[in-house]
Amino acid sequence: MAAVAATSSAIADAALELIEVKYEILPFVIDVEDAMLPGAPILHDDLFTAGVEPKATTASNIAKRVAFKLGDVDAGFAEADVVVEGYYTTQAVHQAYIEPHACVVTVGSDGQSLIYSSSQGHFMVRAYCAKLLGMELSDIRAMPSEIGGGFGGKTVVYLEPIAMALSKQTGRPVKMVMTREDVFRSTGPTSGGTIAVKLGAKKDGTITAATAVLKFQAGAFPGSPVQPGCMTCFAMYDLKNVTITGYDVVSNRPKVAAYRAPGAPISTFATESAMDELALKLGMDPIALREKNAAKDGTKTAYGVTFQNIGYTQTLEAAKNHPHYTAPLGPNQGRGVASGFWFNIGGESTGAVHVNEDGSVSIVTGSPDIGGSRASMAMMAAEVLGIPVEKVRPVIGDTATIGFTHLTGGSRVTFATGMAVTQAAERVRDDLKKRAAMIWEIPVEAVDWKDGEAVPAGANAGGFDPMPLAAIALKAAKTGGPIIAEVSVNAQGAGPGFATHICDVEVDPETGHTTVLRYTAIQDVGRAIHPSYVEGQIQGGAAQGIGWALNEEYIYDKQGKLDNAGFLDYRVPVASDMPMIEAVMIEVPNPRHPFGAKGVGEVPIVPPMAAVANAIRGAIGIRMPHLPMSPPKLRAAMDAKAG
Amino acid sequence: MDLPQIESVASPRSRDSLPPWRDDAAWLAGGTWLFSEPQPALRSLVDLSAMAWPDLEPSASGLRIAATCTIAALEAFRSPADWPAAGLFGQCANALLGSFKIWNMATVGGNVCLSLPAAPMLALTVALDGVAWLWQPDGGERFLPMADFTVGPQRNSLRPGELLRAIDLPASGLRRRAALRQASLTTLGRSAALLIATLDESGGFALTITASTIRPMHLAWDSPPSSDELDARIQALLAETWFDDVHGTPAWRRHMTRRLAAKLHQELLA
Repeated sequence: MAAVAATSSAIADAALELIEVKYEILPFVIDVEDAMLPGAPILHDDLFTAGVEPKATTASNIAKRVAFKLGDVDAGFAEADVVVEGYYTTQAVHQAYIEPHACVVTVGSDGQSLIYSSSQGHFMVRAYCAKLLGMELSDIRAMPSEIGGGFGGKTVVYLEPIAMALSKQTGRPVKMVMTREDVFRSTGPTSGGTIAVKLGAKKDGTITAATAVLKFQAGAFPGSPVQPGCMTCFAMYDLKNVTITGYDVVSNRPKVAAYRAPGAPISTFATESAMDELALKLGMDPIALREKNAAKDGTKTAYGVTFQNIGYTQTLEAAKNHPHYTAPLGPNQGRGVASGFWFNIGGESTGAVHVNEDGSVSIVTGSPDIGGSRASMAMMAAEVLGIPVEKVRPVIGDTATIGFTHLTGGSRVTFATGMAVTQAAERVRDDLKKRAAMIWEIPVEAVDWKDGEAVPAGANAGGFDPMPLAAIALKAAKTGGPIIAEVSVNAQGAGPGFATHICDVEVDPETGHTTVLRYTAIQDVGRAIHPSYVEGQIQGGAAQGIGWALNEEYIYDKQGKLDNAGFLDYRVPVASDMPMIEAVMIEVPNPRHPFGAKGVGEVPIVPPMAAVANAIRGAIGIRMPHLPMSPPKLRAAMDAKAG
Repeated sequence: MDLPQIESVASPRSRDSLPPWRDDAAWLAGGTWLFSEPQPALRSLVDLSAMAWPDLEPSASGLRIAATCTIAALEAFRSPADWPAAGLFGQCANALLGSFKIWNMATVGGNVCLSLPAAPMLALTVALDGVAWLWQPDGGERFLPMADFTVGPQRNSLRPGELLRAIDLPASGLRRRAALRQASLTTLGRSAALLIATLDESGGFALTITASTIRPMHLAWDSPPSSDELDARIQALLAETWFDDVHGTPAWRRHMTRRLAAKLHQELLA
């Protein structure tokens, strides 16, 4: 590997031209199924399939096998009155963040380094750089820059370690900025994959058995999201007999990266398309079929978790009763329904609450804000302290000023960081009560906190005027010094998220073009801390899913070279492609969070591909099992049907 | 984007002051493509904006469009009433993949010389029997029918150092009735098929196919063809004629071309 630093781009470009690289073209494989075939070119001589018995002894492109099982699927299929099977494929797609990767790094003569970069987690940036360059974590200070979109694509480092190495050598600050083409060619898309699904059911719609085999493209190194793909694909249903097998497969493509609900949209496209086929075969309403088999509190999933406090059936009920579901359709129009699941995560987060001398409040967290989390943090702290949200200013601290905080991803921030902030605010509130008690010279137990003020309670009720937060802050020096609290948590108990989407499309039989006419996304959001941001998350996820369904794909030539490395050729949906996406929020609070929050950002991208596919099936009577469902594919399918 | 490897920029004001041609140079008109991606082979730019060529010069014999005429200027042109085909100007501007803001910089000559199959200015100038006026590096000039200008995707008949000065649209072409149809994979996407049909007063019918083919295909009849004759000519095009890239498969482009041609036929001859 080589890297060039220069005082201008022109000099750097000229220097790059002086580097002559000779490539030896080795046998290669770029397709996931081809990579699994016997005799396929092996990418890594030291890669042996994990998760198989007996232990693998020969190198393979299959990095890992994942298997989940409940009951006896053979017995289940034997019980079935109807069986549907399908084989589905998806392509690698881009997270489509608008801001390319960029960083500025400086390494001082004392070895202390400073990184400014846009990422989904500056503690992650610090950790990777330290590991790759053999440095102590404490020698690196990573500063979070404002982020212009990530969607999972900024959960790893690409530039920072290189910039750091160059800065170390030159003793100068180093800036690196990717072009859009760089982003497409040298960062990770999400996986493409193949999914084989089989469902068996009784005539009344009870699913007796389900199987899925997932093969996910990892790129050149292991690490596809096949495990979450396996965890999520049937999690909406209470299945007694189910097996899910997943394969993480390497091939000669860029290493994949996370993308919103990693793995779930891919596998769910297949399983929810199969559910639609099952409903058709049974002659059942697709929502009724889902209701018949829906996961409820107490349902045990194939991956081992038993659900509590989930709101899936409520989303189905809301979908069934929504006017959209019964609105009339015109010629060449169809309606599709699909559901989705994301388990949501918690994990390590830190939040600090500082009461300033004038009574305003600062919040510091370690979570880069990619979806409006600062506003949610401020609202939660304001709620605990009983003060207007305008009095609270949230900021993102760097790695030297706030405790460790895991990535912004997996829909964890409002839950986990929110928990840390809430607990810190509660500690501050308790401290404020203590200070008021000290000033009033009464026991702290005799002080309540109401609407941002300390109020005497019990026997002292009415004995003193309420003391506002600002008044207590003004006297902080005399009551023990600054009023602050910092709380670190490893948050557990993230409430799982469920969604049901309804999609109407019209297919132009002449062109094969699909127009999304109407879209309703219904989601259990726990408690919506900031409803308009939740609505935005739902709309954004649905829009990305619609793009994935209809247009988006990394197009490689037969040599594995990307043909559409830019937004002119890689088409994401634009405003004029989309109808208004109606977001319906169902609130089934999560009892493990002080305000009932559940993660909301991942789930909305899970159902759309199947919802669109099911709508197209309704419009033209053809199942489209391969993404994207572009006009040429639809036209070809219509031609094939016509004979 | 910046082109940091550029070492010199010339801004000639007349033909006499054009610098000697060099292989690592490029003519700069609007720059909307030139500055849109790295140009590692370039070291020099020749900025044509100071030449101050008149954008549009209408006359009895037709319309001269300077190579540096912006799409916006062409779109805003108010044509004589007996030039109905000038209605295509706006339609072709709208067929350009780019915001209307791009129209203010992008030029007719740049679009033509880039010679992308989807270039709407190519479609326009071929359909209206345009002729390219080329300045040669030795001081000479030549004229080339626009139908022969492009030879393949991003390949054209320009010789090293030749400069497209203008495109002349004859009045006979502008006096035709004309209609345009366009298809792409997505709404407002890059054209996968862009067709223009024209009909003159004596019944001469012409169909120009672009975007779906590797270069513009100009099919002409002295008298209006039947719909079957039209379709047969399209179906007779060689398989390798149909363009294949990320914006549409050859089969789909061919399908769309036949559909759009049928609609144009119906519109002009119904």
